[in-house]
Amino acid sequence: MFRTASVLAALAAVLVATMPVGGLAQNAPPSRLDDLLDRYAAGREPDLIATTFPDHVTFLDWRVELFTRAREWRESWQPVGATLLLEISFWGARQGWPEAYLISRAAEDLVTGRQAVLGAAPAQDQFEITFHRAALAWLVGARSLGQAEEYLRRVGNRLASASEPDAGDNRLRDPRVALTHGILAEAWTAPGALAPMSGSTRLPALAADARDGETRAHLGRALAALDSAAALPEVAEEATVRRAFVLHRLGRDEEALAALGLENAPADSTVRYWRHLFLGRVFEALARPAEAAAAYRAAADDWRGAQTPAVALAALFQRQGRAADARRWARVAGTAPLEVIDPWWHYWSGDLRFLPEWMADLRRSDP
Amino acid sequence: MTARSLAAALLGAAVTVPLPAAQTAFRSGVDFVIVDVSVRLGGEPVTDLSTADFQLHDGGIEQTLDEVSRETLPIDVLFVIDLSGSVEGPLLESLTRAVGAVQDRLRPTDRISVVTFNHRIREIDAVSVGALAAPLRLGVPMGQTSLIDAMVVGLIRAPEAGRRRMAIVFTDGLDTTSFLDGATLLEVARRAETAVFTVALTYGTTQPEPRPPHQPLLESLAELTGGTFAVLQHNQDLGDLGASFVQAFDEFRTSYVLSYAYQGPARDGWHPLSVRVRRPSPRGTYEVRARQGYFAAP
Repeated sequence: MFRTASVLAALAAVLVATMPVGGLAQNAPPSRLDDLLDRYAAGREPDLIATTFPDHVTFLDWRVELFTRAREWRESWQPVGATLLLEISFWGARQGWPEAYLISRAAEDLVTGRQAVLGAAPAQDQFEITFHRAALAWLVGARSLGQAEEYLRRVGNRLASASEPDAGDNRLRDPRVALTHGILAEAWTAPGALAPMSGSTRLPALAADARDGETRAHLGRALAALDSAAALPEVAEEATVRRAFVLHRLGRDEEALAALGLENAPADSTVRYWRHLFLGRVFEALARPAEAAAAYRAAADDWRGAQTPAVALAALFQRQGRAADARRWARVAGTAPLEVIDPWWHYWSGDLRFLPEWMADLRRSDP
Repeated sequence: MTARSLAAALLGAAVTVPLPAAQTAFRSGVDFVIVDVSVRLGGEPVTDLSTADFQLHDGGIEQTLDEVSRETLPIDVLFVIDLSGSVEGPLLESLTRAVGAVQDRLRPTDRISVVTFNHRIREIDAVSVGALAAPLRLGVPMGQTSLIDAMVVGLIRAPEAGRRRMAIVFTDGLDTTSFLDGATLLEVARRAETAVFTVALTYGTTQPEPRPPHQPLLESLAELTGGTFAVLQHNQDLGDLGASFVQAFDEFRTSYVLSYAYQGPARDGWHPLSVRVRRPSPRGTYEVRARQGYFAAP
């Protein structure tokens, strides 16, 4: 029965894919939005969104047309429209537009409202996965953690309601989305996440204290999710390193040390760098300062010019009474080359570091 | 050489006498210690105290003060300034004016250095006040906030005798990208021999007024180092930023400098200090502020 349904779904997808571009869109007069979509798909104007919508007033002039056309793009399955909308929502969020969230929801509706059922059109499934990755990366990176939680819930519900849950589940069980569950749970304990506008004065992160119950609960959830993600080969290294940092923050330093003792250095240079930093933290917590210094030096060697290992070494030496060494490393930290982007700055931003690559993939793909 | 003449020699020979710490000298078994002490009564500075008016305990042992002075030693002012994305427009202008207001009060022998930060920490070399041709340009606000990391980098300074050191820290937000934690900052500050005066800006005018992020940490830092912690409301007090900076500087400049040769069993590590004013107060109690201790190197 499932096979029959799959065939029908595949046929339906083929039909949809080979249909002329939808009636509404085709019958509508060419608009400035069509022109914008073409130029966006061509990908030759990196500042296209910013120059098209320099301010909110300009956006308001496009708003009705944009939402109307979003529905048409869904009917006629023009996925690049979703990518364009997502990119506009990012820009709008940065500018503080109140419609930014609605724009991203319109983009999401376009993708998840496709006619091909889950599992029936692999290229469309892949597009949807990348779309979810990108949307989640943005939400976590922007510290919109509540919205990110809702997004993950919607993705989960979509899988549960799929006509063919097995097929859909398999194709949409994306390792990075799985990892995002762990990243997101820990992000709730990131600096500022628990106390951004509330007047609270907690210093929730990085203290390796996890003293308050709320923080501990989030870290417990993070640990469970990262445990699961660590079983997925594509994200195992990052999940393991992030999991070790959570263990350290929970005061379980021996376990953290064991987790960081990977057989092979992580292939992802950012994850490798994080591992060195976290080893330094764990060794400090275990009162093994020489090994901590060695780990921080390895981070500095691995990512030349990065600020954070120098800060860590300066603080470590200062506390050991090694004033000259401390000052030397403080100087290194304060004069780090401007062109060097320290991967530590990405840690709390989840997959934001991949966003440009994923958005480029989405813009180019035509499933 | 008496302790008093040793003190004079050390303080007057800043260039030629290397010291293991900025305000703690160790010679021939004698630990020579200098402590900045601010005394206020009813919010006003008390300016007529002498050696006999102070009582100081070092590690629980009362010490004999050799000298109490005011406004004699040159000052190194370190600014640690938040330049994250929220510090833009009028706030940046106010901040630049506030730094300039302190610059205007410095003497030729004083020095100024600046650490700015967003997620990235930028250190500007110490310069003598005489070399400053124009107000410092702080830079362009952008990015996230590494407050704790920046304070650590700023507080780790090479020891130098015969100078007093203070830091004026400004932040308007929450630390989002520091690698170090508050406990590490406090540990570094205990060895820094720098009085830390923090001015934190909060947003909103609701009742009760929102407290700035990290308030307990910044209060602890002030208490530990003999500095202060001041809160301004963004909507109400932007113009007061300069006054806050100047107040911090004046308070440090006019504070007493107590010096003594440590008497007691040799002891490396942390020396807790307590200072009180013996002289009876005509009204109320004296507010005495001094760092909580210092580290003696082995």
